[in-house]
Amino acid sequence: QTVSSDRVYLDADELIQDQQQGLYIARGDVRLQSGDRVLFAQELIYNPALNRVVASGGVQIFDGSEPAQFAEEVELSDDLREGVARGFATLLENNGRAAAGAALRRPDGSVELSNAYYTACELCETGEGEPTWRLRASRVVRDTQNKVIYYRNVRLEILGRPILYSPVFAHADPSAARQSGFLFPVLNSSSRLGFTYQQPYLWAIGPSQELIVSPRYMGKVNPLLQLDWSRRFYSGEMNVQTSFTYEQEFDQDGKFGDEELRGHVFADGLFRFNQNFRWGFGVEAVSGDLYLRRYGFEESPDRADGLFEIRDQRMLLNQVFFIGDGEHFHGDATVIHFNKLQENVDDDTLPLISPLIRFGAELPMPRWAGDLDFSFNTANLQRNAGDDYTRASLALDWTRPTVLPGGLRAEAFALARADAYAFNETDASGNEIDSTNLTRSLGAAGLDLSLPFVRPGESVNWLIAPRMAAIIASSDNADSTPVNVDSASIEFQQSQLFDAARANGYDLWEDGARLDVGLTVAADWRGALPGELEVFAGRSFRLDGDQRFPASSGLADDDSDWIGQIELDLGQFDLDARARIDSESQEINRLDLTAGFDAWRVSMNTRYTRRTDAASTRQLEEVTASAGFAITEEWSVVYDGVIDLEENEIRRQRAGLQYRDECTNLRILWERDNIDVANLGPSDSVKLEIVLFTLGGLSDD
Amino acid sequence: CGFKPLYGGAGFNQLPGLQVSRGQERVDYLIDDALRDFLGDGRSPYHLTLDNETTQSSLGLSATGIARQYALVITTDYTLTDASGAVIAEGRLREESLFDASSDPYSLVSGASNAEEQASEAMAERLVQEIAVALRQREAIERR
Amino acid sequence: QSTGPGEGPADISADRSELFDAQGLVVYSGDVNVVRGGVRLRADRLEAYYVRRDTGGRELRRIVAEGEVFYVTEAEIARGDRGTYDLVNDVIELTGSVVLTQGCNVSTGEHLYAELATGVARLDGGENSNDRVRSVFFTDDDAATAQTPQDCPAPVIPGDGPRPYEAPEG
Repeated sequence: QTVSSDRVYLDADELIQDQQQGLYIARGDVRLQSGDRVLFAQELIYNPALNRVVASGGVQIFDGSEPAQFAEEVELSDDLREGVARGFATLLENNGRAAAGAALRRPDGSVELSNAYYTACELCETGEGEPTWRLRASRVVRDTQNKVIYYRNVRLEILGRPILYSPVFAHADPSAARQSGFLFPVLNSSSRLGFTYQQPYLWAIGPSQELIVSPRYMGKVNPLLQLDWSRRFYSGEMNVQTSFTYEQEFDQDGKFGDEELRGHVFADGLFRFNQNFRWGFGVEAVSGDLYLRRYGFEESPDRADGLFEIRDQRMLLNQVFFIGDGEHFHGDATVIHFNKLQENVDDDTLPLISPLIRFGAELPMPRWAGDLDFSFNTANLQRNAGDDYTRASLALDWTRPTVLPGGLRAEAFALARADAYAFNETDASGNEIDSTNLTRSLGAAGLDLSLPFVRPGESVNWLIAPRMAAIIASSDNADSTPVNVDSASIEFQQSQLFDAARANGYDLWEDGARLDVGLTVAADWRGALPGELEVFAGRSFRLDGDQRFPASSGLADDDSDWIGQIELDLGQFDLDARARIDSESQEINRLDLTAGFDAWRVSMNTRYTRRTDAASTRQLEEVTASAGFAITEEWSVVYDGVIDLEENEIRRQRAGLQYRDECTNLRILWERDNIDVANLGPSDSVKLEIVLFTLGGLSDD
Repeated sequence: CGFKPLYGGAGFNQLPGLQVSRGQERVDYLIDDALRDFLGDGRSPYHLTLDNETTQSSLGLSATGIARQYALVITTDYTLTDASGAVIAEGRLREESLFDASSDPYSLVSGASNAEEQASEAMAERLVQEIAVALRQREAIERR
Repeated sequence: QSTGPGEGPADISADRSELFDAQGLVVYSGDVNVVRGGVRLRADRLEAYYVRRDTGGRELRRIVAEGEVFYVTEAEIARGDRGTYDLVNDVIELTGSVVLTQGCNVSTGEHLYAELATGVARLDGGENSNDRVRSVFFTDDDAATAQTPQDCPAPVIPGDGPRPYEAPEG
């Protein structure tokens, strides 16, 4: 119901009318509403003759969109605007609280509080207990015109103990949009850079544009200037991070080479044409291969969506992409330039992909005729020094599932594909030796039968799901077999068991006939410890056709290796084990164990990876773990690490202590990176980050 | 011994033509398309909401900081509702596809792209199995 | 004669009355109205307790009213399910969905305690403390005074009001 402003609604535990004095006294959780102004108090004395309202006892005034105001006692005209309040605390918009002994609201709207303090932490109603931090000042003026809060002789108190003192201090009124100002410093001490102090300054250029200028002082090397610029447009956003310094090169033995300007630029942008089409770009440029690692920047930063991201290859990607997505189609076109940071790699040998196009769409078909997908994929690789390679492929993918009586699902499927290649080889000095163009047309068809059964029981439900697929593929004759660039390696695993074309890419085509079989048995049960267990086993039999896959793939022999999976999920604990077992030696060639535990205050995720296929050059055994323990509501400890069991080395680990409440985010993070690159040696660092909400801080998580 | 076919039955036969609401990334489309291929077309009262998250975890980090293999992991939170909006089935599924980290950048990009396709196909088939089991359990409960 | 709210004789009119002399009680029923000075009390049924004065005649001490009880003065009208009027201390109490109306300002509660001598009236939620008092006030001056503007109709008091005193025949 619309509240007309000339009427005042009141409710309370008790209403007293004193006609002689002409007073109405309301007591007990009084709520007074006039227009969109609401007042809460323990007692309210309303004098209609003088049009004056005096409210006392935990008074809270909400005035439309204005921030709420708190006071012990407020005397207001009955339209609740003017007045002097004792024990007045303004709850600023995003919970910055200025509590004051006395407050005067001046006619221009600004509020002057005397012996007041400002904090973003919960105010304890009872008054005892110290907020984590507060700014105590003799005079505080909250200027609502230009949205700033000014302090006279202010002290920063942490848990009640004064830490910093300054005669004058001002910061943005948190209810204001983005205001310029100093953010809290990042302190760090690392074995490579010594003690570092980074002081960010936020310059709010406009409502949707900001620049953070953060000079970084470092003990062992010259200072560095870092700029983080970001801008939001109507149709998208763009971010740029750059840094530069003037310094020699250095490693664990000290400085060498001559001083010169060094730096890096990371930029990404994502823009939307309309609901279906968007484009973007990613720039990663650096003055020297070791710059990022030396100064502690990520070598593969988090990027905007839609961009290719390859971590842990010490490789930079510069790319421009265009994406279209609709209900029945999806396609993207990308140009990517690579730059490897390993010194022994000549970047000229790296391909410029210009472009890579992937497009898929569903063609309209009458319902009885099954589903027909069209796809187009092309890749064009140009190399300054090395072979150029161009491929274009068109494919039609037809599937027709039916469920026969008795629950037998029979899916007929067929694939037709045409490839065109242009490939020229060059020798080491770059002149062309041979160029071949070829086209081929390929086909495959098959039948996929599955007959899953369920037995919903009282407490345990069972599922047994046998599945079989027979596939016949055309053979591509020898003279039209392209060089194998994109399907050199393959890992036989469950996600490709029943695929029509199993190769990892387009270049390798598996001809002949094969039979894939698989069985899933699953049970889920309720009761005290409800859970789910699913077991899968599968194998592939090549009936005809040549062996095309490498020895270490598990598909080399006609009868493939076994692949199996066990998944156990008990809610708070889950385990997933996947393995490939050698068809002859029954040894486990590949094992992937992932486990997760999340209960009480502990959460843990770990993964054990082992590759011991004798035929493979890639023997590896590794454990990655990340764990978190919540000591209290605010304090928590985190750890994550990567341990190489093959060479008994802890590659990378991080341990941190974090304090987080509604107004503060404090993190002490110890990081050890045991990667030896170009004699830089391992790096140890301890970083302290403080972010006081509404006062701002630079934290890079 | 009480076993009944999972496929078929009133609920399952209304799945073809399932309406899916999803994001706009490549994996979102691939799973949606694979669901249509697996279930076939039709008019279905059911509505499936998918929230897919794709991550690549590095495996076999070498002494020089180079990963030797990647696991492309799709984690999907799904919710199936009927025409009235009542939730029939919901949960979280995880599918993984491994690909080798070749020293040639293009085959790395192509490997990741192919792993996305395989993991999406596997996720779609896993979703149909979970939904079919949920429909069967509801029928069993209703009949009891 | 405009006597103060609490002084003077109380004039009671009703459809029927019964006298229980031994207990000093008269029971009136059927549109009972009591008028004393500027105060009027109306109820469906009313018990009047009195004491015999040593100079003869009866002095009314206390009234208990039930059923559509209305307490009316020129400034306000209050209504309750039950009410008591203590003429010695000049206090009226109404209980049971009390509605207090002054011009356009209307307040509701469960228990009204009004001291006629001091003009203080307290309205609250009664014993069961989570019943709240709700009021609507008008801030512009004319509505706050007694005259009732057209848009704030006064509550309707059942019955035909106090009948003039007719000396009993014979």
